[in-house]
Amino acid sequence: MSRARLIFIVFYLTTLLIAAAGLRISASRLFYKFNKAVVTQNRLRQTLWQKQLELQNLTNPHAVSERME
Amino acid sequence: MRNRTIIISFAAIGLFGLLGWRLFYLQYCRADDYLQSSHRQQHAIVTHQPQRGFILDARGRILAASNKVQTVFVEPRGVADPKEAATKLQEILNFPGHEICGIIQESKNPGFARIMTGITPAQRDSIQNARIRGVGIQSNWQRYYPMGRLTSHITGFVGTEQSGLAGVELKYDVQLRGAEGQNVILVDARRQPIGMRPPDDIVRDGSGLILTVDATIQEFARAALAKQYEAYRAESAVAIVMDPWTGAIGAMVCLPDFDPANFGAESEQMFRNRAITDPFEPGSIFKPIVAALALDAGVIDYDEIIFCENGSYRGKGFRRIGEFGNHQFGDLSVRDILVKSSNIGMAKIGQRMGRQKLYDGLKLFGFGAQTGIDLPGEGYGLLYPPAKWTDSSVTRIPFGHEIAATALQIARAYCILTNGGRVIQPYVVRAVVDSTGNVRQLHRRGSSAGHIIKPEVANWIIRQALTGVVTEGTGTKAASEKWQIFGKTGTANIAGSVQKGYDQTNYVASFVGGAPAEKPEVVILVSIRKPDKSLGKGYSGGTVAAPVFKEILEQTLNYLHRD
Repeated sequence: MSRARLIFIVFYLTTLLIAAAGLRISASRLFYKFNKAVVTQNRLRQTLWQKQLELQNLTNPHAVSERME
Repeated sequence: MRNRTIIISFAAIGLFGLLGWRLFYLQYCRADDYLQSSHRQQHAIVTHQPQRGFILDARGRILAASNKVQTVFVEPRGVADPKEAATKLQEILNFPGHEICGIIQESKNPGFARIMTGITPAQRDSIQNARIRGVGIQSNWQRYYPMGRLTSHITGFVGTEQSGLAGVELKYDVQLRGAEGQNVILVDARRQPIGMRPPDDIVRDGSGLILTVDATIQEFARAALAKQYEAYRAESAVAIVMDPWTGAIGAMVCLPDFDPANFGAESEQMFRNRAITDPFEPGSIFKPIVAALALDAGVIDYDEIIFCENGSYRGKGFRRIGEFGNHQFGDLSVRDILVKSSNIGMAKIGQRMGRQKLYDGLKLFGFGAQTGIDLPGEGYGLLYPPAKWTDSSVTRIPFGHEIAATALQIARAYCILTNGGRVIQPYVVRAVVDSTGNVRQLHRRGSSAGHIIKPEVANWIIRQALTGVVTEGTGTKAASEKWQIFGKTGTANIAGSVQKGYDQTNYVASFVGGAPAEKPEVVILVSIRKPDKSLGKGYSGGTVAAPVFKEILEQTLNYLHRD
């Protein structure tokens, strides 16, 4: 085996390992981002639901007739 | 030299033997332990609590719903400097630092001390960014009741574990509760999430309930009832609005009531839904039911005249019977007996029926048994079997003594009269809807087993006799210019709790009826227990309950016909 071929194989394998590690890191990062977005979405949904409950608090027949008295 | 080789060989064999045994022990005997340990290191389990189902009224307004609430807590043993933590939290929460410090230092639980519940999203982000050691945020479901006291006896309430303790929250707890789920997350050595396994258990939010109760009608009923309840300083009061054709409950109010979001501050007595739990002697509101049974059985005729003994009736085997208000009636038709509410006329009708016919008829109307409404804690009322009746029972039961019924049983009996004699079952939950919007259970109009009395008898009682009660009898205060109303007043004695006989100072004032007489849309019952007689404003059903009935009825019909 020539020296150049040996260097090429070592270089190739090293690049492959670095690429695999990079892909793994990217996958983890995307997974984290995805979950963060899910959590944010849930929080926004809960905030919206909270606002709806507050609105019902103000507009229900009992509250309206109390304010009219 | 040879011996040394043998010794070294044996030592090597022994060493490898030990190594082999150790491998066998780890790989076979302890395999499960190490598998579990490895699984724990590589996975994190997140448990998701389900959102409890909502409860909506008939028009989609929220009566009960759950939402997440954030709680700031401290792990006292993990806080190195409570003052520093308190100072940082004080700025974010706008809560006095010395109080936070006190909570941390005085906490009996070294693992958890609650600082504040219900923080805003901005406060939550600030706390997370501040990274204060030993301080965390916990998310819990909280139940909201936007209508407050208005529907407290129907919705009920939940306990600290979010399980139903009263009302439909208890009756439909299994459907509302849902099921918790778990997510298994793959983590690296630093416990950072790097992937997710397909979940073993997916969280299933609770199903929602759509009730038959309309919050607007409920408000009409509560407002009218509360006004009279306070004006007469009554002990308690009940109002029920029902659809006589289906048994759907449009409103059910009991006073005193309670705030379901803060039930811990109220007396347990307030939690009782008196409309379905408390039996009472109904008094004169019971008369149309017995009259209908007698007409149906053919023991009296529509135009028959019955002599009412000029206000005092004595006979063998029963004590003297008089009229309410010491009236002295002579000859009365069956219609007039109901219009003028003659006890003696009804006693004579009861005597004609006899024990067995009277008992059988009342059982058909559902007295002495639960109506089967989908609310917890329903009472049976009290109807003794004929073998236990005294000689006076057939004369007393026809005007509502010696029998006890719940307000709902009476309302249902009037629904049966109103719809032409068809048995209906009261209900409050129209549909159960799952978290994806699919209807899981739908209450359909039940197929009737048939008429328990002839339609013509029921129609005569409603259109001929009970309309007369309102136009010319004891219930004139319920009369309306817009609607033709039918109904019956009742002023019932209350059995003494200590002494034998009746309490002579306290009464239950009631009015039951409906409208429009030609095609009834609602049946309404109003019952006010122990109005204060000493106020001098009256205590009879016609005076105390009839005006409340009228107010609820007019507002309800105007609301239903507003288009």
